[in-house]
Amino acid sequence: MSFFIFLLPIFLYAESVSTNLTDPVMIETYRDVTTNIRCICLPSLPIKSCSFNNCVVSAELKLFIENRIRMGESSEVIIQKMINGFGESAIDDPIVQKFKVQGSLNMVNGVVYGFGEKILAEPSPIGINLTIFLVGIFGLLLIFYYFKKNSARPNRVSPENRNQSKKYLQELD
Amino acid sequence: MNTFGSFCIIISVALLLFSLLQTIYGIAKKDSNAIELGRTTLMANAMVILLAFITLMTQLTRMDLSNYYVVMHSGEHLPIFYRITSIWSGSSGSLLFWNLLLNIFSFYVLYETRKLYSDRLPILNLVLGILAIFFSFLAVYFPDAQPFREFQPKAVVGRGLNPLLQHWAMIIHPPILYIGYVSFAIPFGVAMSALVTGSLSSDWLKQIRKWTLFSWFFLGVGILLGSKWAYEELGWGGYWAWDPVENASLMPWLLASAFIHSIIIEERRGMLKFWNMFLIILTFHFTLLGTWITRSGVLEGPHSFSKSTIGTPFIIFIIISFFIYIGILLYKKDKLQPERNLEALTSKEGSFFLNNFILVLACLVILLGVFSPLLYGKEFKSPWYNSWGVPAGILLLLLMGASPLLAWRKGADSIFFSTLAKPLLFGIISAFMYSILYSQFFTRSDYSISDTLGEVYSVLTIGLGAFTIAGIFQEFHRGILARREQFSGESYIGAGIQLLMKNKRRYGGYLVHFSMVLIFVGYAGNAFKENTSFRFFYTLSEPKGDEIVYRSQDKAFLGNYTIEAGNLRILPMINGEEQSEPNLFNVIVTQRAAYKIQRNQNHLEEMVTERRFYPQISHLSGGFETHIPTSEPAIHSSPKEDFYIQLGAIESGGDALENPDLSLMFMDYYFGSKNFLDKVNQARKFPTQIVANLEVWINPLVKLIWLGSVMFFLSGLYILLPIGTSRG
Repeated sequence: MSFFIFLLPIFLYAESVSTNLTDPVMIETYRDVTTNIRCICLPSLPIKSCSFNNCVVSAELKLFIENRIRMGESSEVIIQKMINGFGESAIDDPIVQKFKVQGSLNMVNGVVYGFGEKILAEPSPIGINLTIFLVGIFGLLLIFYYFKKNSARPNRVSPENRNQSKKYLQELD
Repeated sequence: MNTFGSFCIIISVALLLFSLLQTIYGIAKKDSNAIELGRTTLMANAMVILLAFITLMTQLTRMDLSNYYVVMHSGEHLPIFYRITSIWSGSSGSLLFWNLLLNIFSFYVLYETRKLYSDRLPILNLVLGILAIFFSFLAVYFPDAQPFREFQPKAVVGRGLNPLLQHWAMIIHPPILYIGYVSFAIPFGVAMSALVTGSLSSDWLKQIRKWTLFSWFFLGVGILLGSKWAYEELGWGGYWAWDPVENASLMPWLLASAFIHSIIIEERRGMLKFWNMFLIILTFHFTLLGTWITRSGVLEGPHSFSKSTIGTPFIIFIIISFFIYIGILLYKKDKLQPERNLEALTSKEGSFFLNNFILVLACLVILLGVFSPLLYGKEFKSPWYNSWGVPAGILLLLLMGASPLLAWRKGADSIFFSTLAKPLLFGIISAFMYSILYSQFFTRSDYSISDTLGEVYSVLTIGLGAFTIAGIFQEFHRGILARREQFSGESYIGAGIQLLMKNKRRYGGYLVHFSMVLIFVGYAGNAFKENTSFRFFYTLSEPKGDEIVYRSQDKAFLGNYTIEAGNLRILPMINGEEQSEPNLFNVIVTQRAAYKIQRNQNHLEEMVTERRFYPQISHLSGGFETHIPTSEPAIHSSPKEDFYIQLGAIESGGDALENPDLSLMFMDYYFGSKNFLDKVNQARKFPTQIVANLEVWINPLVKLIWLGSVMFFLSGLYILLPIGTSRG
């Protein structure tokens, strides 16, 4: 029973986040997007956990995301466009202009033409969770099988063996 | 000296080969002289490796630039202390250190058993000898493990130590972790010698238990130190990122925790014999795997090192070794039949089964996560790890509280009212009180979104933590009362101390559990973590001597905190001896920003955070290459929460879109100015207006993590030291 608590967070897991946006709906959208997009410099972190100190480029990308939210785009649209691209019109955004001036052409191209699936922070965990689930069930079955085996067995240690071992350990002590 | 050092390593391989051949011959022919020769040769190897280690250390302290390792990991400007500790900062140096520790521990065990006559000892020699020869073999034949590679022609200067490693925790964290990793070879060797020879009475566990506790303790302390370093040095507001290198140390620690508990079952009830052997094989190979993950570069992470030539031979050795020992275990499984069966699932034994299940499953989760890029073509990050790790931690907390209270052989129902009820009630009341009060207790930003699941987890953690602590106090109280019945003259406190001294294993274990509760409760604070960034506008002021000064009057607000920007100074810091003449090698350009912090409009502290730019000097030309930035966060710590700030990137405040390279500009200002007029002209090149980003975190309950860590260290040390008496 206790094992199934592991399944809960697959559906319910969430983290808090702070943003410069003030509208609650926009904040929710921002949280959704930054949870699902990874940090550019540190792929192991979602972009919302990636600080300016760790990755300037990600911090600027978050500002770009805020701009798109202010334009009225939903989280699903922004995430899809992160994968597939926002198009040439995105070059007008001041953040993209900044990337251009700084020479970060990879970032400009990523925004315009898309970063691909690798920009996603959380790949689908179905495969890995299923593996763990199956192994967990197997482990529980083993414990259950062990429990269901015949009751108390006779003492298997012979007096001779015990004396030899005790002598060995006494010498060590 | 390179030749001498290499010669030592080659001699080591030869000695170990001789030792192994003699031992095998002695076992086959039952020749005690050959076995003894094999053993003394293995002991002699420790001296040879020590000599190699001293040689490398001498080269580091003397800055012998003919050595590749010295060139890549040390520098002339470094204080002598960092030059010495750079011996474990790189691949080949740390592997030599691994080899040294292995040989020191092996020497100790072989010396300790020198007068014993037992058929197990040659097998122990063999196991340790095979391990030692593998590391010496790597050091001879693979460039990334060779500590005495020539650098020809001689380098001009050393590249210096990674500035991230120039921190007190990073000095002691690697050796402590390595002691934990390497020392596990000893209980593993003892266990395998018992397994191979078939001398499998439960008494062998006693000797293994001490070594396992030793390894487990050092691994645990090393992990906690690493967290402390990450929190204070990396400037990202956290202490654990589920990085592959972090995971590499956590996995064997989890397995060792499982083993420490399951051997109690074997000692008391003669159960889990096969499982314990399997667990110790698994744990030891995970220590090797952890070393491989850290050194092979196969799995990239923020802490990982570049790809290494030792990756392939290392993983082949681990796989072959693992399957050989598992094969022996399966061959000998008939000798590992349990003496008794599990009589009640909710008994103490049952709870230990569950404890093992969760710990091993948690290890599997982390293992799959670490190798997910290779196995699933995707990389799983902190949120996925937390989705498994947090509930696993909560379940472990439940078991930590329940296990000590449960009875052997009887179900929980039979002892519920006599033992479980009061601590459980205390836990439920604590959880209830916490759930009412926490929303007023923690600082919240106006714009943050609550984390419902995290809050639920924090309530569970507090409730179970209170349950565990109440159980510990109940156990102590009952023990003290029982003792005072026997020794009526003892005071309550005196009886408690005597209890702790006379039964260290049990009551010392309760102290360790207490420390883990504190740490887990500290982790629960993450549910209320706040993080945001602010931008402060600065204007250039008159330079002060060698410093460039910017001023601001901006303010920002987060929850009930007010952050008022003051000065932002760019100044030089000398790395190394303070009296040294500043030059390109030893000047660190520091951006130092001061902020006045108020809480509830009362002055709290002036906090100073920095970004430092260490010079990276080319070892080939001796010229300046680039700057390596590091973070110096400022942390105001209180029992309730940490207020954590870190200066971020600085942008131009005017119309210019690009970020000014202030550190490079400062180098020109500091080194390029020949007179006062030059200085003034150089100062004018700085942007008149800048915007500095400040990352701010509010981390609740972090102090409990460090308090729990200290308690873990002290209670673990108490258990290990030969003070008091341990009763099984």
